[in-house]
Amino acid sequence: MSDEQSLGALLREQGISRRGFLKFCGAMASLMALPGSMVPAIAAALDKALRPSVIWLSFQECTGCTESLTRSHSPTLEGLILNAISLDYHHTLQAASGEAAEAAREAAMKQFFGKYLLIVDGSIPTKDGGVYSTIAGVSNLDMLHEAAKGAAAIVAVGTCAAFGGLPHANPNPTGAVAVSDIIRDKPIINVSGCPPIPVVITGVLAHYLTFGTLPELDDLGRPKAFYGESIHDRCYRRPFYDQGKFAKTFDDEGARNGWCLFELGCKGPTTFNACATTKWNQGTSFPIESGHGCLGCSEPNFWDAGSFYHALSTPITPVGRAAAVAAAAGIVGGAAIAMHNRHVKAAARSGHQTVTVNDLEQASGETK
Amino acid sequence: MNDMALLLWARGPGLQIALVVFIAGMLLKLFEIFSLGRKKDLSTPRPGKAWSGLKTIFSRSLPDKTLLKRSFPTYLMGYTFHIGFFIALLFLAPHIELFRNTTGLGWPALPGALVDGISLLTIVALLLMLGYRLYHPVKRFLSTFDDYASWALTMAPLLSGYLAFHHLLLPYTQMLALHILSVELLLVCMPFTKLFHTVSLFISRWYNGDALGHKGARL
Amino acid sequence: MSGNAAPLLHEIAALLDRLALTGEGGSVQLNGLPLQPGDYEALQEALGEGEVSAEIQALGPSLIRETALHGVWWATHRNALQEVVAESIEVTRCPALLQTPAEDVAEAARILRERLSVATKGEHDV
Ligand code: SF4
Ligand code: SF4
Repeated sequence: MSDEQSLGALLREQGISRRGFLKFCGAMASLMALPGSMVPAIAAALDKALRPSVIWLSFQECTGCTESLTRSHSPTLEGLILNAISLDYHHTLQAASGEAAEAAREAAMKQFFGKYLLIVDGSIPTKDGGVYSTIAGVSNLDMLHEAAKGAAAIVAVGTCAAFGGLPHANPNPTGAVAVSDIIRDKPIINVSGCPPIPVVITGVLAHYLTFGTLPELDDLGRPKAFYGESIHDRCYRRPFYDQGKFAKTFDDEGARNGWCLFELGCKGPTTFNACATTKWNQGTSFPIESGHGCLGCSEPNFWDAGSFYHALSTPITPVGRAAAVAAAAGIVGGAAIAMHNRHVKAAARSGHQTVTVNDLEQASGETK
Repeated sequence: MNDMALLLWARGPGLQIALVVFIAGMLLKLFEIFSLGRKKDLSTPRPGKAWSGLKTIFSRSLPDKTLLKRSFPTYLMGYTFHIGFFIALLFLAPHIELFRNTTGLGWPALPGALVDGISLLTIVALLLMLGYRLYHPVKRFLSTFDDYASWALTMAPLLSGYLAFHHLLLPYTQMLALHILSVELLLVCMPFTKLFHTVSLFISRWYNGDALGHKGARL
Repeated sequence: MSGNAAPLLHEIAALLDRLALTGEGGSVQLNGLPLQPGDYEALQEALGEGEVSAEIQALGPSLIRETALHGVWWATHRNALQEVVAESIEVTRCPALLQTPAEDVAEAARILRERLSVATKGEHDV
């Protein structure tokens, strides 16, 4: 449960020294992509920050986002951040279950009305009154509406919550939509990715803890500090792209030489995420580093963006049939025009009368 | 609609529509031209006529000496633009990937930096051509809406492609979407503007060459 | 020198100028930069090994070493699992993390007094 204890006091109570705290703040600064010179300010702010109450709702999702968060840099950084917030409801992580869990959620919503941070992962099915996903008999749609009312801000974690994700993909049988399609009157931060990079989730929480405000967002509601640049902008294979050196298959010489993966379907140029710099698995590497192109997982509709293995510049739907239909139409239409032209010509020919000079003279004589 | 949705539309339904209009329109036009027919020339052809049509298709790509001297800027800019445009179209890696994907045919790409430089030259040539058209009284007099529209339709893909390549002005995703859309617009308009010359020039050159050859003119 | 090492070294040189002139340096965050394979090693080689090396045990080990270039420090922070959580190059006369926080100094004085009073009390009891 939340209390009015400040974060600094809480951490010291856990036996963390001031140096340790400073180191933590330094790591936070680098997480938030803030300059090192801001560390003292961050330390001062975090020291005094009060633990915010957090309610985490999981809707139509695969728990991958929660996995991503809890499998990260543990136990220190994310662990500390999770300790620093008061996670009042998260039906996968909390000990309580069933009615006790729902009661905890309702209690937190009442006690911290207007102040709690609402985190959502998963999309929200809206078809048939939202019956396709329910928690304790309440549809996700209703629960979101209710929980959003008292939220200071909403963090949509994962591409499903941010843009609809996999459930939203064609043909979208459940009518799944993103949080921002339903809630319009609250600030929403989209932390997209399938799953999002764990430190990005914690980075956003750290920012909120430190400044009490939301980070600067791009036009899709994603924090600019992490989604400000494309994978391609920061890709170490970029020089090969510029030189026109491309791997053609996953095991040719180009692939072994680490050439650009554009022709193998890399969506890095249109994908905005921090993978190329923050990397995955405790900063070990990221997909392109292990030889696979970017799938574009942090962008809207990435499941419907054509094959993962076809270049970005190619059509996402086969064009053969359309071309054939068009050709047929063109030929039929052309033949019709040709027939018409022949008809006109034939008519002209049959209507043709030979004229002699005498005829002309006669004609001109008549008109005189 | 967000940038990504626009891009996906351009790579999907947009392209389908454009291709349908383009292919149907081009065929329609070709049928129309061919079905016009020509009057039979009853005179005996002069010797050496056989290849004159084919020869002219190629020989007319080279400048005529007198004309070259008389309107050098037009020639210079015209060549720069046409050659540059085709290099950018055919030798940038992402473009080749498009051809490979749709037709199964592929060929090696030129380095991005080289294509980039050529594209810039091409854009400059196009701009100068517009300036010259507006400046030169005869050219201006002869210009119709079709000329200006064709200029704009050609410029749009070049400029948007250049800006996208350099991540200038707009977010890359958006610029890429605009680039593809501008190409689609070009495709849609091609059968119905003077841009149809991309195809009809071969027909008219062949016809002229053949007719001249028939009369025994030196080509 | 390939890739991104050279521009980083230029930045460090500029920070050194500033440190010499105004007394205020700065830092370059290494994690989060698009370093190409080889960049990291090139940086280490260019900066070299200096005289000071300090290890801090707080939330896992941190290693802070001065490079052969005075005023340029290389800091690697790890968590309890030895994973690197942050890495930076600090341009300063002494990295902030090495200095004792003011509050800790005050606290140390208090703790020492407490110990002394316990000790003297013990003496009187004899
Ligand atoms: S691998 Fe992908 S992100 Fe990297 S340079 Fe090539 S296209 Fe760009
Ligand atoms: S490289 Fe691309 S597909 Fe892979 S995790 Fe990052 S953004 Fe998603």
